Amino acid sequence: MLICCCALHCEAKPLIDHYRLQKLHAEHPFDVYRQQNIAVVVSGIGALNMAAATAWAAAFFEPARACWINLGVAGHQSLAVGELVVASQISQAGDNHSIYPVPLPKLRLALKPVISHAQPQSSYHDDALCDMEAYAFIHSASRFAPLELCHSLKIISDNAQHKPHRDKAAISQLIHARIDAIAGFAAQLMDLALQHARQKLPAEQLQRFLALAHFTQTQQIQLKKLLLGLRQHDYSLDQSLQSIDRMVDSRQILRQLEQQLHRQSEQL
Amino acid sequence: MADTIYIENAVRNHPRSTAILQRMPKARVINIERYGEVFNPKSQNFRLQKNNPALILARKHAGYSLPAPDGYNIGGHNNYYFSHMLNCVYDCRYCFLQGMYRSAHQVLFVNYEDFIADIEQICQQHSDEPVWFFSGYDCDSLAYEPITHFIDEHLPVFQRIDNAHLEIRTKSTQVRQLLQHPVNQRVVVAFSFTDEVTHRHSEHQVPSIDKRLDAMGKLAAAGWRLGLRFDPVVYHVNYQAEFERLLMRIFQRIDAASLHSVSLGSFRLPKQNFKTMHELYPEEKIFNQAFSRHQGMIGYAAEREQAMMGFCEQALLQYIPDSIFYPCHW
Repeated sequence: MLICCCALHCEAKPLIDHYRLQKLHAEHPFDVYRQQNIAVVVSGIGALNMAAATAWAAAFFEPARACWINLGVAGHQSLAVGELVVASQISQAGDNHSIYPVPLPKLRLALKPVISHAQPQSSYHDDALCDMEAYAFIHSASRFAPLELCHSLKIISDNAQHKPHRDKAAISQLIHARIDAIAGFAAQLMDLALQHARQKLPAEQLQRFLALAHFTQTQQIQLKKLLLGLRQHDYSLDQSLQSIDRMVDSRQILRQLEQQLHRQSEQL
Repeated sequence: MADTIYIENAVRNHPRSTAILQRMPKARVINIERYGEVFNPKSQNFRLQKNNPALILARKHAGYSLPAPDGYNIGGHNNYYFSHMLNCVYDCRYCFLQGMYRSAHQVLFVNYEDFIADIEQICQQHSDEPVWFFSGYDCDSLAYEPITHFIDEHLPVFQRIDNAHLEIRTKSTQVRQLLQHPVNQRVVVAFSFTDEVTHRHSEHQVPSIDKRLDAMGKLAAAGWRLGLRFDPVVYHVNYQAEFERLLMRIFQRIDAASLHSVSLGSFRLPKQNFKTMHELYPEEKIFNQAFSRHQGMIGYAAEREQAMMGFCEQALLQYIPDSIFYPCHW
C-alpha cells in the first residue's frame, strides 16, 4: 500500500485526481482519501501536524505492508519553479541530525537535501530546499517502515526570483504538471514495498494454523517462522495443514512442521 | 556498479575520492558528514538495500588493522586483518556480513595511507617474525578493484616490507591488475569456493566456478601463490558427491604445487548474526536446516559437522599434502 502525506489540500489534489481517490467520510482527525491500495492523508501545515498525521496513518492503515511518500512544495535558491526533486538528506533547521532516504535504483529525478523549518522562510540555503514538514514526516514514517520505503518529493514553488505565495490553484497546477513522474516514482516504490511484504506472513495464513490448537506466545513466534520457511519452499501450506490435520497438541504440531521444514531445506 | 555515491565532507577533496568520482562519472553524489549517518541507522532493511547498494567514501579514524580471531591463520603466528571496505558486491546468502551490518551499502575507506602506515608499524613491532595480514574479512578483496585500485596501492607496500605477508581473499575474477605487478611470494591470492549446487543456490552475482578457475589458472601461470578456501561448506543431501566433483574440477585445472594453503570449515555463524539473517530471509533453505547452538555459535549438530568435515578433509587430502591444510574448528 502507498500512503502519501501532504500538508495542504492543494498539494494533495493532483494525487486525488490522478488516482481517483475517494474521501473517507467516517470521522477522522485528518482528511483521508483512498482507492484500493493508495491513500492520501492531509495533515495541515507544520511539523507537529505532519508527525501526528503520519503516526495516525500508520495506526489506521496496515503499516507492515506500506510505503510512504511526503509530497509538497518547497523553496530553493536557484532551481526552476515546477522542478520535481527527491530528498536525498532531510534535516531539521538548527539540528545536526539528518536522515538519508535510500534513493531508488535508476532514478532520473534530481536529488537534493531538504531542511525543514518551523516557520516559512524568506531566504534560501545554498543547495538545500526549504520546507516545513519533510523531517517530521521521515522521522515518523521510518518508525513504521524501513527507510528504503519512505521518501519525500518536493516541487519547487519559489526561488530567489519568484517569491513564496499561497496561491492554491497555482500550487496544484505545479504538482499536476509533474504527476506522471510522481506516479512513476510511486509505482517503483510500491514494487519495492511488495517485495518487502513477501517477507511477511499474511495474518489469515497464520490464523488457519493457530485455530488448530492453543499456542503460547513463544510457540506462535516459532509457528510463524516455520510457516514462513515452509511457504517459500514451494511446499504449499495447504499440504502442511493436511499433514497436521488430526493433531491438537501445539508441541506436536510444531515438531511435525519443523521436521517437514528440515527435510525440505536439505534439498538445495 | 553503484549509481549513488555518498561522500564524507572530510574526504571530498582526497585525491583517491577525486579519482573514484572520475571513474564513476554517472553516479549521483550526496555529501555527508560521517558515514555512520547513512550506514548505521536502525530503520534500514539490508535485503531491500541489496537491490541497489550505494558506495560510501569515508575516512577510517582508528583500528586500521586488528588482531585476527583465534584460529584464523594459515600457518603464521602474528595474524591481523584489515578492511579497506565494509560489505561486498556479491550477495552470498550464507555470508555473515548480512547479519553484521544494518546497511548493504559498500563503505570504502579512502585513506589507504593510514592503513599502510599501520601495517608498517605492526611489521616493525614483529621485526624478526613474519606477520600475516588478511584483507578479505569484511569485503571481497578484488571485486571492486577497478574502482578502488586497492591492489595497485597495497602490493608495493608488501613488496617493500620483508616480513609482511598478505592474504587477498576473493571470489572475483578481477586479476588483471594483479597480473601487472611482479609476483610476490609473500602474497597469497585465496579463492573461495562452494560446490556447484550451493553456488547456484546461494552465491548470487558471484562469477561461475569455471571463471574463477580461469582466473586462478592465469595467476598460477604467472607464478602467484594461490589459496583455496572451502569455508563454509553448506550441508545438502548431495554435498558429498558435489564436493568431490568440485575438487575434481579444481585439480584438473590447478596444480596442487601452486597452492600455498587450503582451508575448510562448515557453515556456522554467531547466534545474533544468524538470527538477523534468518529474519531477513525467512524462506532461505540454508537457514532452515537442523542446527544446534554451541558457545554462542549456530552450526550443524556435532555429529553432522564432524561427518562433513571428516568427509571433506579426506577428499581434499587426496589432492593436497597435509602440510598446507588448515581446517577451521569451532
